[in-house]
Amino acid sequence: MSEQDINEFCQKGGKILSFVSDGKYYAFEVKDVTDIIGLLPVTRLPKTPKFIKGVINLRGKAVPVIDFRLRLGLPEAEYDNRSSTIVIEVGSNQAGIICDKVSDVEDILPEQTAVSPVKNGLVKCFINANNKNISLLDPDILVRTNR
Amino acid sequence: MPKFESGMENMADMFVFETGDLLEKLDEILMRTEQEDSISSDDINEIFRTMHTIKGSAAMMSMHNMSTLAHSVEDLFYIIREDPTVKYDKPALYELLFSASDNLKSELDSLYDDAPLTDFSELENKIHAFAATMKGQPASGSPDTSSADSAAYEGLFPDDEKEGVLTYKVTYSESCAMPDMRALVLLRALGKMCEVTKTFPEDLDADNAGDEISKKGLYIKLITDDPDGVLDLMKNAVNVDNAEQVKKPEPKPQPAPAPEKPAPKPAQPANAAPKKPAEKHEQSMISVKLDKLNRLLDLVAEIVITEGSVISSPDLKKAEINLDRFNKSSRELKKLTDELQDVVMSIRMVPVSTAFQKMNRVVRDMNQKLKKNVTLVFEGQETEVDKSIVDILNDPLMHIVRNAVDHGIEDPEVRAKAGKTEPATVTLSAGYDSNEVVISCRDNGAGMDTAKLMAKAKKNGMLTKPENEYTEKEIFNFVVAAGFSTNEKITEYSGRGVGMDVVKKNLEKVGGKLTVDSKFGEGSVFTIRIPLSLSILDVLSVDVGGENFSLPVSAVSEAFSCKAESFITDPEGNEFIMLREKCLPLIRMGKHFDIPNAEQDVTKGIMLCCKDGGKEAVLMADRITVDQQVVVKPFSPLLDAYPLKESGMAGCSVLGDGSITIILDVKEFLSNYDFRKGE
Repeated sequence: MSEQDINEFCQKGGKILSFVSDGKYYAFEVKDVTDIIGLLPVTRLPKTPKFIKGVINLRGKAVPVIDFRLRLGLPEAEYDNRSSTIVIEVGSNQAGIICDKVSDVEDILPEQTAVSPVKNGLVKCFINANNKNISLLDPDILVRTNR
Repeated sequence: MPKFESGMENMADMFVFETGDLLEKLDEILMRTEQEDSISSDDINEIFRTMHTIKGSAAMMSMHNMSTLAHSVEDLFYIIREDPTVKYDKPALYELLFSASDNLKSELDSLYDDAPLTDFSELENKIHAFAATMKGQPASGSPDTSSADSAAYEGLFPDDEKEGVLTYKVTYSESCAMPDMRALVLLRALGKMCEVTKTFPEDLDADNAGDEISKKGLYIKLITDDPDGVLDLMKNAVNVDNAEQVKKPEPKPQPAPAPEKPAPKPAQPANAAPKKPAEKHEQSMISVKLDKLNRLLDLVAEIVITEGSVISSPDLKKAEINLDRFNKSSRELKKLTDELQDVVMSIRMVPVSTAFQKMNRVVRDMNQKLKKNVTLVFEGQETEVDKSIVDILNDPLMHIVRNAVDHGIEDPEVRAKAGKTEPATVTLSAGYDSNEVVISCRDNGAGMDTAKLMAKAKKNGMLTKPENEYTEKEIFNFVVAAGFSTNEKITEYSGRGVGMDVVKKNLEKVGGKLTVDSKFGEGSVFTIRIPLSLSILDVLSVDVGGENFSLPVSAVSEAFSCKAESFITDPEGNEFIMLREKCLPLIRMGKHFDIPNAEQDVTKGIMLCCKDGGKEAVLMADRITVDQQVVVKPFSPLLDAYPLKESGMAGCSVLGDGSITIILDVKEFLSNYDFRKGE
């Protein structure tokens, strides 16, 4: 997500998919999300960091899956029946993000947003909507950084 | 009559497609480098090779005009390549290059037209002149000889000639005593079916007419509605050796060259106005993007998997209903999907003979030029391989066969002196060996002299270690290294030492190998090995602590259970397995991939003896699950940051049951494995 995208989002608003991890709300822009699925059997990949759970078979494609809690350094938690995989698209590649639970698709108005002062940070923009503080994430940074 | 030599129809499509492709790529490079105003040595090499290839394949199709034009451009880049600091007029160079590329393209487009070859000599002269200035020599006007023949008669093609006038050339056989009389008879017969406007020589009754006809031939200008009939009549006339329609030659180059005149000359339909326009040739081949075909393969694989899960759905077992009709339909479906899968797979399979056949021409032409009288023999040409492999093979085969005929086979006199009575033969053979297609080119020529090769390699500064440490194999492989050519003379066929390194590079790109073997005095063998399919792989799947890994079957030489006494450890903690007389290092896959539940007891696990890239080791897994064929998919680019490749993982594959297995690259695995640290 480029700076321009973020400015556009903050000026015009848009739809987000919010989810919960460790009691906090996070979100992707709906346009970045391709699938919301349950937990599929994961094939572990050796020699990768712990937050990369492995690859799943998503309609014949081997898609890497990241545990959101571990990626952010949050305490690890057992998966339960509310755990979900949000499949996001980065460039032309897909990645699955495992979160505690998917919350909602929400319409966000420009006045509900505030751009994060951190440049190229994981969180691009803070949203306050429906009495929740939601961090809008940059999928590119989430998937690619931390090498 | 199309422009290429008859008998080459089946290759013409391929020629158009390939050369077109090359020219597209050339244009891309030219556009880019012109824009960036800098040309890298890679680009120079690429242009040089492109021209080299076009030159070769055009010569094979008897498109001499294209061949020589490409040759002149190749020469140009030879100079630039040898001396990158050479100064030249850039805009003028690009003008020439684009013009050459356009001309080649338009000639390709009009390949099927009934027209003589377009004359490129003007452009060639410009290029030669440019090359000469680059070399710092005065531009020498190369004589234009191409139209000398048809210019034998002054004013044969007057500028004000009416449209619709066709010109024919009739040559009489040498034994014909009075060609002038024959010509008169012919003209009388022609007069009945068409309007003859003029003949050359003009006065057939003149005393010297007979001599002139036998020397230069008879030219007849006429207007007709039935050119084929006219031609037939001429051909069937008494004593006529040959009759053909001739076209007005291209105007000669003007003394003042105008550089902005690109002068692309498509075939001139205006000249053949009364003729029916040549019918547009429908290509019998379509080129499909590989992406699409791969997508199709993927889809079919997915359909098969989904079909399996529908038919064996557990829900069906719960319901207590009659499934007869369902079962019948599902059998039908299975049959159809199986067939679909076969068809999709076979789309990509073609016999290797398409690549072999092309070599017939190469050898024939070389025989004519070099007088070596080489016989080309095919073995196993019905071997079917993936289409992409045939594409890859074309170029290497052409280079290797040329080399075999040019360098390998001796001149007839030398052969006779050496006491070789058997005919000079080049044998192309194809076959499968485990998971690879093996194509070899064997000649019974002179073979290679290791001492000579060594001296040459030394002279070219190619040695990287002391001379006496080189094995015979290594010396032979100098032949396929860049910048090595034992032929001093640069010919149309070989001699610059570019051929073989192109071959090797292209083959390595697709995981292929090129090896050379030779016996001095008896001949040489060039062997190409390419993985049978570039995407489908035969693998042996193993279970390691509940995780699934697959090794290419080609890399596993042996699987065995290990007895306690063949397991050895040295004081440093290194582990070895005695396999017959050999002591091989043991790699525990569980340890290498940090799998906690992997089997620790060597006598309970399964040992896989693996060999690739010159290294050999025993890999230990818990058990073998299955051997199967898989479609290898590279890892998602999002995982590029992690050392998957370096740890020996090549990609993954989705199996029939929907699970994923990790495919190992044994070569990478062994070469990066640190035996001392055990990881």
